[in-house]
Amino acid sequence: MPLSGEPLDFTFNGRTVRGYKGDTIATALARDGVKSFSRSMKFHRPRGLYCGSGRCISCVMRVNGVPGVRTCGVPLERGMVVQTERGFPTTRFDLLSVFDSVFRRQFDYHSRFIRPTFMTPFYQYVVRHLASSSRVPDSSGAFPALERKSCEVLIIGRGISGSVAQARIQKAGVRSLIIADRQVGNVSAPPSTVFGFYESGEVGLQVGSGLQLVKARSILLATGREETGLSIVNGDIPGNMLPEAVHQLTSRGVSPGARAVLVGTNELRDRVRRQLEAVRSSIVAEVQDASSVVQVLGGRAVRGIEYSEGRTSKTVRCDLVIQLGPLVPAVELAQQAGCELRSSGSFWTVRVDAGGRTNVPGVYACGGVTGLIREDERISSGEAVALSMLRNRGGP
Amino acid sequence: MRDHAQVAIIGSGVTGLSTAYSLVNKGLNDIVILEKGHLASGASTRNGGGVRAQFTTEENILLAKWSIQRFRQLGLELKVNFWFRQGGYLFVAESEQELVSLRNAAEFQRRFGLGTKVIDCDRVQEIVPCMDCSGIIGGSYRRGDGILFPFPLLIGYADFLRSHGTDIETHCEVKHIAQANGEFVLETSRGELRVEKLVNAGGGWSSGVGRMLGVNIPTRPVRHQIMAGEPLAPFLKPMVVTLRDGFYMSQGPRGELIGGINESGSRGSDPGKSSAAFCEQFSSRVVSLFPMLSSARMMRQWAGFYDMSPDANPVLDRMPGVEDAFVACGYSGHGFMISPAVGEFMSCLVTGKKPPFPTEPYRLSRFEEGNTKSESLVIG
Amino acid sequence: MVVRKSFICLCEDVTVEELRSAIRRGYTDIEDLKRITGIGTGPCQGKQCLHIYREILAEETGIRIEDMPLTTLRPPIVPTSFGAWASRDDDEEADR
Repeated sequence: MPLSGEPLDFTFNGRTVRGYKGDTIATALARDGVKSFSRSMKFHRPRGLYCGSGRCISCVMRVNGVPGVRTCGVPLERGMVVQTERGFPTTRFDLLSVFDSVFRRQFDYHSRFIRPTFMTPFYQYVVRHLASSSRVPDSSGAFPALERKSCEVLIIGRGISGSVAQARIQKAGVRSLIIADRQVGNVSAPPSTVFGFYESGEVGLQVGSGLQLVKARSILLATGREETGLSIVNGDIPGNMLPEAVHQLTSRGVSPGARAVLVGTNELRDRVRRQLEAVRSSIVAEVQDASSVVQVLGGRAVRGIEYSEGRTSKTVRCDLVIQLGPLVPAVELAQQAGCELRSSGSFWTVRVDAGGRTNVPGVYACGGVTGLIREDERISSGEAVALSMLRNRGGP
Repeated sequence: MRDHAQVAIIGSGVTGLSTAYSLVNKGLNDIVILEKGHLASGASTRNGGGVRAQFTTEENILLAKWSIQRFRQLGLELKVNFWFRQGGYLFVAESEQELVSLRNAAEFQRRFGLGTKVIDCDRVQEIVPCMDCSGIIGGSYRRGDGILFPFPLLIGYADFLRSHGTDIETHCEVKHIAQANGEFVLETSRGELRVEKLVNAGGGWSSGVGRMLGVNIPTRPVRHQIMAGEPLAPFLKPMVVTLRDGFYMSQGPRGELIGGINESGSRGSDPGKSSAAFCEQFSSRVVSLFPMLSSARMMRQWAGFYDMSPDANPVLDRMPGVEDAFVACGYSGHGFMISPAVGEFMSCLVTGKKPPFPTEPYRLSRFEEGNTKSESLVIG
Repeated sequence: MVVRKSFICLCEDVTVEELRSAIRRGYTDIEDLKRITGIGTGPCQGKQCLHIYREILAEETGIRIEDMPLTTLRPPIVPTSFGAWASRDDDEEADR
């Protein structure tokens, strides 16, 4: 469904672009046909919208004079001034991409630029400017005051198991409850991203442009699993995407590409298929075994993919490669909280007992982050751990 | 792991690596470096890379000055680029008293041939155009100080050492040290090693290693936190340091902001943990000194130990009462920047040569004798 | 046309080839690999690479993925503005 919200005009590298209420900056640009969002650090290769979840820097741009903004995570506002960062003279036509041609396999710059020594300042100048992206922000910003809060329960993640747990806990009458989830566009509440567990027992939350430090009596880690990409040849150029990016675009009525190839396989495949269908993209091939990909073809953007099938090699024309890498349990916060992790196959997961308790008092975990995969198991996990948390509340 | 070597060095940080490097260059390569964590897992892989000669004691100035010269050559010798950028260190004074202490320090430094200049607020503004100098009345600046990127240097040392017959055993903790038949018998988590000479380069753990030999080393590990900000195009040439609270900040080779502050309030002791208080205090200073950076972002905070000695000057000595055992520690937050000199110093002690520095000021016994002058420029 | 490259770390532009070279030089600990190649040290702090590097390390060395320790994942796991950390209520400001 195309967005039917009010039009919001903004500028992109000086020209006016129309977006709509409900767009992120990235989706508005994508609808406008922008492919190169940024240039990479050493080789200055073009990069486009890739992960769609704020977990890479391929879509990063300068917004309203602030560098390093993940455009996939910022709701579009009228009058925004959006500019690309790296690239000389422009991001679209970047002369510094000569580094991609000169350094054809790798660029370990710690073993280079050593001689002659009188050139050292020049070498440093080049690398510092090549590697760095945007200038210092144009002006000082205004931020809401840092807030300190406490609550009885903090639930981190509003995915399947987190939502079920939330419902159960609220049903039991717990009012002092904070739920954090980082995704843009969760209808009932603005995104609030948990960014750290600190020594004091406080948990850092980013809500809008402000920060909060929360002390909670019980914490439920329902952080789920994260999508990952594939390290296929040229799997970095614009037109390569993860399912979340596809979701972000299609839910705003933007087609991520006309001819899609799915590479790899994970549980999100069916959802991806449905979403592509809804915006009338066709899936021209599915390459389940990522190791059979020879290379993604393209220059400024994907224009094809070459892979081996049996003993032959096929080349398929496409403008979209969707990378279905494994879903990896999101254990970063659990690790910071001091939770023990255990190896489950090739993944680290949070170790919990039958009641969802981790080794850290007051910290629980449920769902995908504990290694559960099946949806029904993750749902019942949310329910069971919520009950366990309520039981351990220690009285009214 | 081997069971015998001529020299064991406990600690694979920059001290241990630099000492081994100097030993190999003197023809002694029968060395095993024992490291309980990963390579250089202590302060050496956690510091901000600052390099300066602006100190207030002769002990530190001599080692730092010599080291800065060596840093300019080490890259060529090891065939690595560790991005030693001599953009200067700028200490700023926010009170008359601070300016006086900087003036005294600069005068003292000039006695050693260092060209440290005391500058006024206008000149500070020139050097750091983006800084809000309204609270600053002056500073001291030395162009030859700077910042380097520690990792390539550490790897450069390790590669060199391994290719010259030295063993670096990581994840190998020394649990017990005995002495028998004129040798040291080291019991490690990966087996036994007998050596003729032993160097304690244990960083924050040096005191513990000393205890294994019955030697009291009065240095203590103190946790200091540090952060890296997202990369920005180069705008900050020098390392800027404030005296009031030890705030320091510069930019690394990729444009990332690196900095720390001398935290007020209670200080945690686990380098694996982080405090929100550090973020608040550091950020407050960033925003008041560099208002334009309020929208710039912190991307990671971590921590490491300063091995604090009672007078903030290093301990470089034989271990008293234990023949053929040596100790190099107590750098109090400036170990990396003096490591080339320390390596040379210690390799001389080990091989019985005379170090190119006076040895008396660095002796361990000075703390008992009570005759020490403290270093006052401890940062971060 | 871009030159054929596959990446392990998009932030620091580390190619798979560069990672393999580091592993072949004898560095098989993630703590060393991070510091040599830069993987995991860029603005995304390893979100895209710290899972994938393990497959490559397993291929090169035979070390089981289960035996590869996680590196320390520090706060903040999303970048946080200095201004947000420093921002105080006007009342608090007046007290200071």
